[in-house]
Amino acid sequence: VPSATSPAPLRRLTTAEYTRTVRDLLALPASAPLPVDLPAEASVDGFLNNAEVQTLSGKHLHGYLDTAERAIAALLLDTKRRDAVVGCAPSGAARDACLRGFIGKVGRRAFRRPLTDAESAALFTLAAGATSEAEPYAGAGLALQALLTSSNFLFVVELGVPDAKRPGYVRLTGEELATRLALLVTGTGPSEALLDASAAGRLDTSEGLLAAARQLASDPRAAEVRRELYAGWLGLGQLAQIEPDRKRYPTFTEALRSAFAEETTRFLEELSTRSTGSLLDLSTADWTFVNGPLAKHYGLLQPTTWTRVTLPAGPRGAGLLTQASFLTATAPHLGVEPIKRGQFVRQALLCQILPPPPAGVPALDQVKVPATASERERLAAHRADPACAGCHALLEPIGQGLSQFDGIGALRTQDSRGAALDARGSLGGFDVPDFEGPRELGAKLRSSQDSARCAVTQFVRFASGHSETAEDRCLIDGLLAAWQSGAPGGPSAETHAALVEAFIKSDAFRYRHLPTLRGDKP
Amino acid sequence: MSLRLSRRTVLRGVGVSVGLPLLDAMLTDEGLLHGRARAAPPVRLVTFFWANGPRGSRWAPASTGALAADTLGACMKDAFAPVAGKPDLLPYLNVVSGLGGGDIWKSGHSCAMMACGYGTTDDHNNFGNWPTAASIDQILAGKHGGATRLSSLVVTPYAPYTDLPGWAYLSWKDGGRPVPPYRKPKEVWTLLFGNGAAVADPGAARTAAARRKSVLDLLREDTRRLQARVGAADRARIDEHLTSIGEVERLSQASAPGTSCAPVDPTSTDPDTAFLKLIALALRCDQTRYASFMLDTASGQRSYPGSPGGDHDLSHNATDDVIIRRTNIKLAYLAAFLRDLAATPEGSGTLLDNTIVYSCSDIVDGRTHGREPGASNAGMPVILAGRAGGALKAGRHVSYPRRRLSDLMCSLLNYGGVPSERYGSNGTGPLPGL
Repeated sequence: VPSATSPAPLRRLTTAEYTRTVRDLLALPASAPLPVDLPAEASVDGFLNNAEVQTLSGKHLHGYLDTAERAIAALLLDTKRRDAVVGCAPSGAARDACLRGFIGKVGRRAFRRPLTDAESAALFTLAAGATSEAEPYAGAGLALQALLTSSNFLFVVELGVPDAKRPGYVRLTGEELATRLALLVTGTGPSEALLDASAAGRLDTSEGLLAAARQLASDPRAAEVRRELYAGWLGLGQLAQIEPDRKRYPTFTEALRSAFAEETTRFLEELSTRSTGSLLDLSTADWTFVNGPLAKHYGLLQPTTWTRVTLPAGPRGAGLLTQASFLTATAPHLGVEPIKRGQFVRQALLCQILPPPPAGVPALDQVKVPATASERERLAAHRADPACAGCHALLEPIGQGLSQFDGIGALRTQDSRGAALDARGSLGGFDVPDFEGPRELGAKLRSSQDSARCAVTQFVRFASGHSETAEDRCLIDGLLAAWQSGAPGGPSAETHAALVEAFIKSDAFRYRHLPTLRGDKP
Repeated sequence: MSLRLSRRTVLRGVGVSVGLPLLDAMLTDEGLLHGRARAAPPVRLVTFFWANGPRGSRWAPASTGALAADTLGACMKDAFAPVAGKPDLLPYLNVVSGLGGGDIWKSGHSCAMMACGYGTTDDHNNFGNWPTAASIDQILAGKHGGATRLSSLVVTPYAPYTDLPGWAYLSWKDGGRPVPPYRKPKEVWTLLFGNGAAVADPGAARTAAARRKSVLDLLREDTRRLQARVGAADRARIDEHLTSIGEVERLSQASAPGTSCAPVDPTSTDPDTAFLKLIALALRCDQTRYASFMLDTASGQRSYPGSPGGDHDLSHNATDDVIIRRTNIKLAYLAAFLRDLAATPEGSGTLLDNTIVYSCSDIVDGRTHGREPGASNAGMPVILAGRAGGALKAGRHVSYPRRRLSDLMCSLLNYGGVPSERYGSNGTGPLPGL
């Protein structure tokens, strides 16, 4: 019996998925501009694809209508692309046949299933009414506009087939599986070839799905989807929001900020595409990518252009934990770095959620300590307040392991009060040190089963488009076991590809737990 | 080629531009009145959020009863001081003190802001940081919003900066889904009032408008067919698409009010003022009846003209004098908005007479970050303005210690025309004697 999963709400294409799919349907190359003015997506757990908080407001619909109108107007002016998309000339005696053929073909891509007769007829009536010898393509454009603003296009509709053995669940149809697969791997709707494969029953087996997934993985858009996953998981958007104190950090420039982001992008792309080696090296890798300015920032002599380097012995060399992007993003104000860095490790790498501070807590700078107190002593005094200790004993003892790095990720030799540095810290949650320095912290995380489970959980959040619930425990346990053991003939254990494939093989991928209205019994 | 015409152009092309203030032109249309007496203007609701709270001990007047300029709390006294040549606001105000959130407010700004906007804080996920029920503006809009071109107008210049939706959004649909706000004043101006440019080719505009209508008709049909095939929970989401189709249709078909109702584009000023002026215009010209506005996100760090410094940090650390001054600066935005409404005649009174403006912050006091009434019984810093068409008494300080904000929301739903016995997960019923 397939294992339980939490209910999956009907979800809308994310802005990124919508944009990529519209490009596909209009034969727009990835480099061509496609202005899309849609409301910002609400972020949950860092991810922008959470179905629970999605709406389809009037503001959204205006955005969809405007985008489609603009993009289709441009398409009709570009005769070469127009002919590729429409595929025939809707004029003279061939008009009706051309329109019908076009609507059937493009409609199947847009709705990710064949159109019903009623749908085809309605679109044909719309198109024929707007087609004239003076404007032979106006009707085709209008039909395309209706397709690109339809519920069947904007929502990922999964009606499925009821399964007598699984009340409350439906088994996805071949076309729905093709859609899930294409969205999961390439972040866009299925190609005609993939829909054909599903119609021929080739996605009915795990082997068939995996074969299709491997083909899709070489699509350049698969890299975009990986970036979206890791940006959400690791909160990579934060770096752009931080404004380091330029007086304290005179070497910080916007070029350096871009280099910080680029290093992490390159690092994660390498980490997630190499054929062997664990994703969990995220916290231990002693290699990274640097360019000239970043090498200088890190105190390295080489190189001058983006190059993969192995870091010399020293504090730096604990994967993301010692990259300037992360070290800067977690330093919004001087003195709170250990707190924010500890919070990141707990939330992003261990999936442990700490409540926001309760009411009535004193601000850090209101804690009375001698002026000469070190950063560490200040935090300890703050932690002496029982109202703070509960959570903070879990936060800064981790972050203090990274105290050799300043607010923009450069090495420092003393703290901001001039005190000597002490990089001992504790992952256990007590003030008894259990590691010293970033490399030991990273290694401790690397070997913790909690961080492996968290990696799987983060992937499930992204892949299923909603936060995990207690119902997903078996799914996550199962994926974790499959990911860590690897599959014969499949990708190497603990790689990104192994995680994707384990998910595709799971029941969660083939079934949808139907949501119910609040208060209703399933 | 007519497909190149933008929707804005279409809108101008078909607009007859009769726009006049509500009572002069629109109340003669039965369709706009949804059953109310012909002469009675509709009750509007505006929610106004400001961040980081006042100084709790300097908020409420010392005693309940009639408001007077010299007995207002220090944190609002300057903002509501009389201005020569402008309507006096005190007769329109209710300072409502003593309200708290109850034991469900486990944490920080997020839950408090939730209670501010919607008075309910069902746990939604591990953070318990956003609601599962719709906010009152959206409940009212769902019921009565179809009478105007825009069912509700949700605006703020401020973007979310965390992944806590509960901090970033004031208006919510049922199920815990935030309504995305408009963030650019110019966009709202164009949406509601057009941009005034002449239509180059009225014939082409008409064709484009007819085509747009045919697309919307098809979308509606298409969406209904889909709706019939999905489960109940999915149906609710698809229903939202239908609602949006209706709204877009109303915006492109109904006449945009012209310059006689909204003579001046107010968007060249700062975005906060611009949005508040746009809300006032939208209400005046009956383009919407429900609006929400945020002067910052919860726990926000913006500064204010003449008062530098990130607001959240300052709320923790600054002296009473600085907080009092800062709070008056925030509330001056509210007061200016209210004066606009009070200066607009409508029916036998003013636009403010026929409106409820509910204003609150995310916490009782910035320094302690409390969400409970506290020793001073100040409670959440609620200011209600307007008379809800005469139903709501005003010019008073009323206090409801031990009652919840949810119950105030329940009262406001009733004043707004959605009879309700209870609102929110911890509500007990409307506030007596409000």
